[in-house]
Amino acid sequence: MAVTTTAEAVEAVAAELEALGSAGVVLEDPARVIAYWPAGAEADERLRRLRRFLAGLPVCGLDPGPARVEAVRRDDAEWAESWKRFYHTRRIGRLVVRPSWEEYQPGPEEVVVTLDPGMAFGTGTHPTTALCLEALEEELSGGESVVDAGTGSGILAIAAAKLGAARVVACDADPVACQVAEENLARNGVTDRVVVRCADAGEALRSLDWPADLILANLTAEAIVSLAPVFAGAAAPGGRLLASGIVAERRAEVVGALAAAGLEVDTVREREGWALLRAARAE
Amino acid sequence: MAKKVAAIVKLQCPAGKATPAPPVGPALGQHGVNIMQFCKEFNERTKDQTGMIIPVEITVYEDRSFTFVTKTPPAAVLLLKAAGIEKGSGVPNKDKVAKVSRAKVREIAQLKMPDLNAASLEAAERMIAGTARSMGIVVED
Repeated sequence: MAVTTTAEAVEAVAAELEALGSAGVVLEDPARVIAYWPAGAEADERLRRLRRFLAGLPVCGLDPGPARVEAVRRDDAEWAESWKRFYHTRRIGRLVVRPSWEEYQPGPEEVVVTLDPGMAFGTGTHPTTALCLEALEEELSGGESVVDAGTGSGILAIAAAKLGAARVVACDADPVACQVAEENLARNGVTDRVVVRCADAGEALRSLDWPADLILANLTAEAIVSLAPVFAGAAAPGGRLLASGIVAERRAEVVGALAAAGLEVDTVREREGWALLRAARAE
Repeated sequence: MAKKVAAIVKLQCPAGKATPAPPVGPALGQHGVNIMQFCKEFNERTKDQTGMIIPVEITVYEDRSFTFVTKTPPAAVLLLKAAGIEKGSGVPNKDKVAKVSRAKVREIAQLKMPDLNAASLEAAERMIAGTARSMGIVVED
C-alpha cells in the first residue's frame, strides 16, 4: 500500500502503517510512504482504517494534503531475483565464483565454484566472504577435515572441498540456507565430501566425531565470541580457525575471547570495515 | 575515483531484525542490491538498538555495492518513549492514551531536525505535535 502525502504528515503516516502491522516502511521523496502486508482478507479493513486516519489528521494539526492511497498486489518473484542481473563471475585468487546462470571457461590453474545463492548469504562479493575465500587458499594443501559454521549459500564449504579438503561439515541454523547449500553442493559435484547439517553452529561442532583441522566461521562478532570455547574444543591440536564477519570496531574483543579459549590469533586482515582473524590452537 | 550513485533508498525497519521480506526485499531488490547482504550488515550494526524501528538511508552504486547510514529514530518512537507507553491509540480522536509536554515536543523536534524535511524548528515542532495527536497523545501547553 502506498500513501502519497505531505512532508509534515510523513512521520504520522509511517507510524500508523507500522501500527497496522507492516514490518517497516519505505520512504520515497518527497512524501510517499510504502508498506507491505501478505495478501489476505484484511486488506479492505486496513484501507478503511488508513483512510479514516488520514481524514482525522487535520484535527491533529497536520495537513495530509490531497493524500492518495494506492493498494497494489505485488508478486514476490518481481523483486526476489532482480539482483541476479548484477551478479557476475568473479575471480578471487585461484578461485572463480561463477553464478549458475553464467558461462565460464576456466584456465588450467583455476578452481570454479558454481553458485546460485538464492535467498541465502554468500556470493563472494561481500568483503567478509571474499576475505575467507582468499585465506582459504592458503590454509588448504589437501586432505584436511573442515567445518563451515554458518554456511549460508555453501560457498566456503564448496571452495574448501574444491581446494582439497577431504571432508567438510557445513552447518546452518536456517533451513532455507541449508536447502540452498544442498543445491549448490550438487551443482558442484561435491556431495561425496561435504555434508550439510541443519543445526546451529554450537550443536554441530559439539557433535563432530573427528577433530577439525580448519574451522570456518563467517558469522558475527557476537556469535564468534560466544562460540570461542566450542571452536577450541572442536579444533585438532594445531588446528586453525578463520573467523570473519567481524565489524572492525569489535576486533579486539573477539581476539580476547578467542585467546581466553586457547585460540591464539596470529593474522588479522581488514577490508571495508570488516575483519578476518586467523587463529590456531596450540599443538 | 568516487563510485557513481545509482539510487538512494530510505527505509524504516526494526533494528537487528531486518529480513529479506518486504519492505526490505522489494525496496532493494528492484535496484539490484543483494538483499541478504544488506540484512546481515544492517542487523549487525543495529543490534544494540534491537526493539527500535530505525530509519536507514541506503546508497546504491552503479556496481550494485551499497553503503548505508542510520538516522534518528522516528518521531512516533521518540514520542512513545517520552510518554512512557508501548503503543499509540487506535482511535486517537476519542481515546487519549498519554500526555507529553510542549518542552518535550520541542526537544524531539530539535533532535529530529537534521533528518526532517522541515523548513524551520517551528514547522518541525508542529509536525511532532501533530504526530503525537495522531497517536492519541495529548500535547500539554
